[in-house]
Amino acid sequence: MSHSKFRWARLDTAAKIFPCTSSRRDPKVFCFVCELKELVQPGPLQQALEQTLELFPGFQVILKRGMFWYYLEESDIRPVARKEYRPPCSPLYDRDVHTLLFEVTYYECHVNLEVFHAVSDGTGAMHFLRVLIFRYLQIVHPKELGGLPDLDYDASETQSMDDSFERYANHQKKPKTRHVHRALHLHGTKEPDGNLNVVIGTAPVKALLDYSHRCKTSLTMVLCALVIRAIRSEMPVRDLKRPVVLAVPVNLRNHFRSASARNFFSVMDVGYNFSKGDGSMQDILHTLEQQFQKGLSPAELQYRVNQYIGLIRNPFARISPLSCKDFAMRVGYRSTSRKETSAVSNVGIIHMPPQVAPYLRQFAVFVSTEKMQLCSLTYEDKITFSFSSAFADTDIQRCFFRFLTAEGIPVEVDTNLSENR
Amino acid sequence: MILKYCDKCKVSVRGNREHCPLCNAVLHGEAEPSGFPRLPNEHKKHKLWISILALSSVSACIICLLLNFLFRKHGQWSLFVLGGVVCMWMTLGLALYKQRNIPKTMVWEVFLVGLLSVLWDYFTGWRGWSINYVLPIVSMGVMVVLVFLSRLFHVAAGSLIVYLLVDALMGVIQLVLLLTGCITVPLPSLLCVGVSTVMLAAMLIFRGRKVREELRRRLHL
Repeated sequence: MSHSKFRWARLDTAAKIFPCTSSRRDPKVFCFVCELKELVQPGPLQQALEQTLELFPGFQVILKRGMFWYYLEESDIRPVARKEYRPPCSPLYDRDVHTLLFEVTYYECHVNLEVFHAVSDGTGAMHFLRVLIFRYLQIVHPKELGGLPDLDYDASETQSMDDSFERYANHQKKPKTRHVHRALHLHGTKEPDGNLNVVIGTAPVKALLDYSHRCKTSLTMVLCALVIRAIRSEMPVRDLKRPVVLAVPVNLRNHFRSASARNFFSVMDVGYNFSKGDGSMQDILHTLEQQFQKGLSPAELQYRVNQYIGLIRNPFARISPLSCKDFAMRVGYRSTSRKETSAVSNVGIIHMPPQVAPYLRQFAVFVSTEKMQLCSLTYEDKITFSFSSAFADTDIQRCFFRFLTAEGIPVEVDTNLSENR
Repeated sequence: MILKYCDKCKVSVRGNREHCPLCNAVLHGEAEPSGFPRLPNEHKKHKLWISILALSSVSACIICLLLNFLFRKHGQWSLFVLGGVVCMWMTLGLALYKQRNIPKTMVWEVFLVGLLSVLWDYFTGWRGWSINYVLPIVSMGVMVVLVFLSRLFHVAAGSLIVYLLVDALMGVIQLVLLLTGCITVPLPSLLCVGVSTVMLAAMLIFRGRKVREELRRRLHL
């Protein structure tokens, strides 16, 4: 038995919400896709996966239920890189069967890394994928890439099981609670069987950056504004008084020094109310800019770090059994979810050594959701926009991409939707 | 090579498809493979035997209710049938819901069967058969099965410890019932308490460290 070390870890603060809110429709799984310019070979991929896992002990875990809390336990289950066999972002966590909480699959030129959110956030998973792809290419092309130095990751960055929330939480009072009205809700027919509808658009990042410079703002804000406008174009008139609220994940590593390979992010809500503004791009961007500035201020970020800690340290909450906590967290999650229309997440730039660039075509990321969510990721000169949606129709996606093409930005679209619907 | 192109949306589209996924307009151009595999449409198949069983139990209930309504002088015997069917579906439903983990299911079933039999016993004029026989025999049986079949089901050592401990709770309940004098036929309960104690002792002696570690993890605050 290899279970001689008894290594285990509490779930990090932000991850505590994921096991209990994971459902078939939204299993809290996100997926990174790397598209190579050549067919993926299963043997070397498996080899690369095993090498990578040695650097990321945080991924070699199963999730178990304790009396009071969930926890992660080191496992000796061996992951297998297999051909893509189920719809994207299918459940990875099962209460009754202990399995690893991530999965590597491949299909033709694509390598997919699907991760249950309780294990890590986008940053941690992106590191994993970078190492995996780098190792894979080294194995497949030993002549060209064999001599390359290892990736520039910090060992602690991959191994740290640190809960950075605990580290940075303090007793600062929370700012006065903002009264948030019920946000606009997207409606529509849902995909059957809880499947996720994914539309990935690829565009040259330069064109997008030029566009955002013309608007004198950042890329993330432009994306938010475009999504808000796309949602507006599908909004029924009777809902106009409801604000369109987007949840924007904030990577707290950019604001607090942390080398955690686990979850360290927070979510800020930005929104626009069409009954109060003129709905022009300038006005939306102006509103967003104010909200971003406020949301990313140090005091506000500190408050976000403190947000959950108080709850988790509460003695009564601690000694209540897990099933009670699950119930309470589900209720809380649902009430937060009601205040959000959709979500936009700009994961940022993925860096790979220049020598491997000739083998790579593009990267993409998307996440399971009960609503609709946009994730974007930049690699080299390409930015990918991935809309994942629980709804069967693609009206908002169409509006979004038509805005881009109307600005003269070429877009290439790929989707998992089958044609005969 | 010009990709499939949609004139309405002005986007190129990957995959061998006739229509634009965004606006359903007709595409033209050459197809480039899509990054998403065509997966078989896997609708969750409802098992036929469950449907047959469900229909037969519903019809049995209805027939009994109707017959009971016709021949009222024999009392409300159809309620027994209804209760029986409901209990059967509760135990079966639990087993089906948790079927991916058989050892865990067995432990849950011990408690469900125990509870249901106590209820039956109570509502049919307390004769004590539930606590005298059902509880000790079921919990003891599951404990023995767990120990001997743990290899077969590939139960991880940590999980087995927890399942046995939870099942041993039943032994504790038996002991309380014995001491308070609720149990009138003591032999099965005594056996159950004995087996539970021996099992606990064996676990502590052979796997003491593992038990402590598992408990520390499972009970951390």
